Amino acid sequence: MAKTERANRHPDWRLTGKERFNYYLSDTGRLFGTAVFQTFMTSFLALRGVNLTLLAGVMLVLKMVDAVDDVVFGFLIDKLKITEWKVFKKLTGEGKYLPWYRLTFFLFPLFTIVFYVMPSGLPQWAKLSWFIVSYLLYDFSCTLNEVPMNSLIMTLTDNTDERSHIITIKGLITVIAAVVVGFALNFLVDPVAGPGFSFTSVSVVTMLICIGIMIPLVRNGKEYNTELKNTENEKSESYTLRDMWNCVRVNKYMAVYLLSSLIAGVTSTSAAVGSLISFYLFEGKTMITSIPVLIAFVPAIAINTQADKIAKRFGRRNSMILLGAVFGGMYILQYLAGYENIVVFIVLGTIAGLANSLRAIFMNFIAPDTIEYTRYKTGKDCAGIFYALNAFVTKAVGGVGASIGLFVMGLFGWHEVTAQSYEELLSMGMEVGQAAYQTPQAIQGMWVVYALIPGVGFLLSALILLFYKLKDKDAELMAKCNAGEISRKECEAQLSRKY
Amino acid sequence: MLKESFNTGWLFFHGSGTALERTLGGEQTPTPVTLPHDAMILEKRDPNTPAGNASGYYPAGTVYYTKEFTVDDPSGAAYLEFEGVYPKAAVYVNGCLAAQHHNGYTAFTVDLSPFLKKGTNTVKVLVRNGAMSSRWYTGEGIYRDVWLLKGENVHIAPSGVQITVSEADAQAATLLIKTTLVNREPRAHSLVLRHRIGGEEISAPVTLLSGETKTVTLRFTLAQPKLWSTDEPFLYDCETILEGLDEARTRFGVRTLSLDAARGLRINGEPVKLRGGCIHQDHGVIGAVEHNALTKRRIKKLRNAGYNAVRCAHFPTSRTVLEACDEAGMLVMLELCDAWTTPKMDADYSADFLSHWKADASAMVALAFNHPSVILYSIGNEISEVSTPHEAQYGRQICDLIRSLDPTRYLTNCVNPVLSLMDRIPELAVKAGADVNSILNGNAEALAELMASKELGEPLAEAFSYLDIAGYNYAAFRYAADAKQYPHRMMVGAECYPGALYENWQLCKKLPQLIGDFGWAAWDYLGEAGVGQHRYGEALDYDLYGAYPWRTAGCGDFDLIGDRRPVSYWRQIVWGLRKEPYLAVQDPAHYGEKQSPTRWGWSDALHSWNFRGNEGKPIVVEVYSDADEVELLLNGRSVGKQKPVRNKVLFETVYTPGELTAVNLRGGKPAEIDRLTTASDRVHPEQTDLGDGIVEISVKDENGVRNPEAVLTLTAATSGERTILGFGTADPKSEENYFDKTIKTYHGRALIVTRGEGELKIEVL
Repeated sequence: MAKTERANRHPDWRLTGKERFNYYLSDTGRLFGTAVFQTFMTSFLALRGVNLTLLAGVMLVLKMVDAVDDVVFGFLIDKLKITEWKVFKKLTGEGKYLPWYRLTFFLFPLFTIVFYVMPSGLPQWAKLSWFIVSYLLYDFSCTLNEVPMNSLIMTLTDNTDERSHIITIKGLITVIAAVVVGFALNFLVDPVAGPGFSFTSVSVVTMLICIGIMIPLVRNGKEYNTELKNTENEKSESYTLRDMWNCVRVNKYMAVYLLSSLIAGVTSTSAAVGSLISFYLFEGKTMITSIPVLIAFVPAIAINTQADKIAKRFGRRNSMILLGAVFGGMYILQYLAGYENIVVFIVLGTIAGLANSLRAIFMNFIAPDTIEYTRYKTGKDCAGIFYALNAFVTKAVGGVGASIGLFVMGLFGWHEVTAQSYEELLSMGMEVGQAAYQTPQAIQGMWVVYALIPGVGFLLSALILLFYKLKDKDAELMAKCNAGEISRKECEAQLSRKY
Repeated sequence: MLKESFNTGWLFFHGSGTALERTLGGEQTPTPVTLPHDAMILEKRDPNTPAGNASGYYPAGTVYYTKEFTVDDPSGAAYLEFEGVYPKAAVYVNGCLAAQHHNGYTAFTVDLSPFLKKGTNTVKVLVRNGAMSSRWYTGEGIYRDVWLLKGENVHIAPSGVQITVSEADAQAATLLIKTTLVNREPRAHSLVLRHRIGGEEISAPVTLLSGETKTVTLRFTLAQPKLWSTDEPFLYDCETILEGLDEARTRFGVRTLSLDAARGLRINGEPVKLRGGCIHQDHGVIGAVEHNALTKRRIKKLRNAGYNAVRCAHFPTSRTVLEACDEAGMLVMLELCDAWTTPKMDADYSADFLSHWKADASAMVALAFNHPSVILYSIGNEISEVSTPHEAQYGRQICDLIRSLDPTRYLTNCVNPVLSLMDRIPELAVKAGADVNSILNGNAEALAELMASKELGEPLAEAFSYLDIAGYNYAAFRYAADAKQYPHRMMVGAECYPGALYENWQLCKKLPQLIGDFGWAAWDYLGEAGVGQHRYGEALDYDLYGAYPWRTAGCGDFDLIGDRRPVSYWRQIVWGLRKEPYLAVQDPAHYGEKQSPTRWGWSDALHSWNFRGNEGKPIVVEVYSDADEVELLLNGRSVGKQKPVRNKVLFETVYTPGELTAVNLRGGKPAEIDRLTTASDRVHPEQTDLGDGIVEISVKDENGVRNPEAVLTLTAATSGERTILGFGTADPKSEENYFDKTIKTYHGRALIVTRGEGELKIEVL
């Protein structure tokens, strides 16, 4: 009886609880894995003695490559139906996005490990080469994983409520991933409060765990919405590059969304300094940057479970603008008042963290709306290309942000140090004349990169969203029209305005 | 051919009019009538009539009509076209049998030429309805239009132009225009046949040999066609000219249909889920009389209430209905019959099935052919024998025939799995490993589980295999299971309980194979008396029908005279087509009693805040809404807030006259509202003349607020040529006759339908 009641609670949902769980689990693996790579990357490279100015330039180039591979992959995944190829069919199984995922899910953890086993004794050119090759491999494999994973939201189900639910849970997982990476992993490498493990050993172990929890989706996943219901002709889906361009061009809301993400990403320079800021500002205690994350953990989960209700009450766009402004404001305040002040640093960081975790969820709410809008206007599904573009904007510009950060730090006079771990760095000494010493100007540069640039950037990103004028209710109506539940005329009669 | 109405100047008689009958019974005084005419609705109801609740206690009998007409030149071609005579018509011309037609719902044409003479001619139509032939009210007599067609001996056959849209998109449509030509002369004719559509013309020479009937098909390309759709039902006229001899005009629409298990049903490439309702043909107070304006009013009202499809149950409907649907953008499922070989009534269609199904299926296709609204043919309703291998073969034959005549539309069969498999439940339960004893002892849960099992799907597999779309009557429990077990099967909820729409619609959205849901019923109807009746207290023993004086089914989104009931607004909200909440108030006289409607019924709630004598007593208010939360306000004060479940909330309050308001709360903010105001007792009957003889009457107070509890006794009188066809209310068990001149209003409403020019005076007694 209880089972029947559970089943009837959402009779219109398409996935079973187990199927959703497998998706969450797999997404958790992906988030953990990429977070490990991103969090440790700059610190690891800085402690491997790589020249930061050079590194910044190299990363910019790499992001150019990344931009191409993301878009190309987005195109390929929409264009190719690998399940129709006999050679793949047996290997990958049925579906639209799952076959790609099944084929490639283990690659990015593998290349993460390759990156983190970079020997410290190599010459500068060899370290840079190692970084370039392993980063490119990681980045491409990451796209191979991320695009199908995000696109799956559209193909797992056509029910917008179920999608919102999945997105909410995904948001929770993001928070958990942030905490685990921000706290547990930093604890593992912290030389003062933690065991001070090397980045290499921590990365290898976590990557193996990630692969393990991604396997259930690989084995048991199923897509229920692989065919579109809104195309205007009888031909099956086929896309040209022009279609792809039109998809984005027609949808000004998608453009606003991507531009907002772009600005937020480019100015996310904090990633360049990571726990280094904490190490230098708070006498080797790398975990200080994790404390706001730790404090915000439970409240963030509580707030995130209410995300869909908040979205309904205030509207998705307004919520995002408010949260972006809070996040930006807190970072600017932190820049002005939080330097070497642990209490202010933690309090403001906590508020900003809460705002950002919610903001990330709302960004995900808006994405399917813009896709439905495009379907409504053009009759074409563009989920694949959209998520590829989105992946590019969020990930690639995140890297650009880190690159800019590194460049700014170089300008402020950062000098290279080489160490296996923070423990070794601490033992090298941070006083004038000691090996780990950085000038006050260099430390100030780190502070600008950590707080001021992201603060201003997020404020700008929030303001851009004022141009996003697709109403939530209208997006829901468009989704119904796309599914054939109501006709175009009935939809237009109910829309709040003409689009 | 020249087509003129043949509806006037008829005389009506009871009995058969044979010499023997006249000798034994004496001469009758004839009653002059104008067609269409329903003899049954003019009878007084009889609690003891054999048809009982099926006909709404209307007695059936044998009647006949005669008409004299003058022919100056009998040498040309002449036909009489009957659009519908119920049932078993025999047409005699000048005393000779000219045609017999058993089916009371299909049109037929009588060739008069062999029987006509110069001067006065007589036609007699005998209608034999003495036996129990139907499970619903059928009407009786010549209840649809009759036409006289006159022309040359070389002519276009009656209804002889069929237009098939073989391909169509925004750029062009390819039409195949098939014309049937008749040459009755003893010599060949070489002629030119032309078709004109929207300023474009095509012509071709054609030779008709002596005595030949020939079909000629021409391919016509229509550039940049305006496609017919539910949103924009554009219609074309095709003018067909047989040079110098005959002309015909054919109305049609250009649209394409596609169907697959991945994308469901699509019209012109756009996905469409059928928001359907089942309708019978009668028009309530005028019985089965076909009425153009009332038909259009019905279809338009249904369309405005959110329906985009109707199932014309359980027989081929009329040309008038299809024309109204074409114009309104309403999709149609036509249906062949209610029985094949197993009878449901003593003298129903099963007695004629084997000898007539081919002719009847062909007539159904001929009726539908040029109507873009028709997308589905149903080959039967709840034919229980489809689960047996031999009987299922009839279905295959019907499908083969219809496909050969019209391959452009889809075929379904409206199967009730429970009914079909009822006799085999024990055997199938054992096979499925279910608890047989529980099932036989009436354990509903065990039965439902069995009904959804794989084993129950198998006996129907063949019967569904030859259809394009499997029709499920009251079998939503099989949708998900069959979608999985038969992934290529398309399905439609062909007949569903109104209260189950919420769950059914979620499944429609979820399963691409499930193309829609047809509720029973969209409009109340005569007969099947009391099937939707409302009862209080614990559910009674299974009692499907209502005893006399029940007359209507008592179910339907619209009542008998066309007023929307609360369930219709709930349905519209479930479909996502109404944002405003809707208030409906339960009868406080039954507060605290359990509401026990039949499965075709709803609650007893009315859209009214007039409950005199219940001041200060508890009352239950229903609000239908799709909002996050609903707040109810009584005279400006909040009664409470609640979240809708299945788009519905119930509030309890105390009845106080005044103003009742439901407010939708979206995101915590007030959005749409619905409001009820107590009407005063100073009421008057407000008349709304809809034209074409239709006048609606509403009992309203001095502020224009309807008072449903005020009962006025009204009399109607006409002058001049104007006559009353029917006068009555939606009261499902009123003992008034619809031919009475004095009636009592019901729920503050009444309807009168008249014919002819003249004055109509309605007064309060």
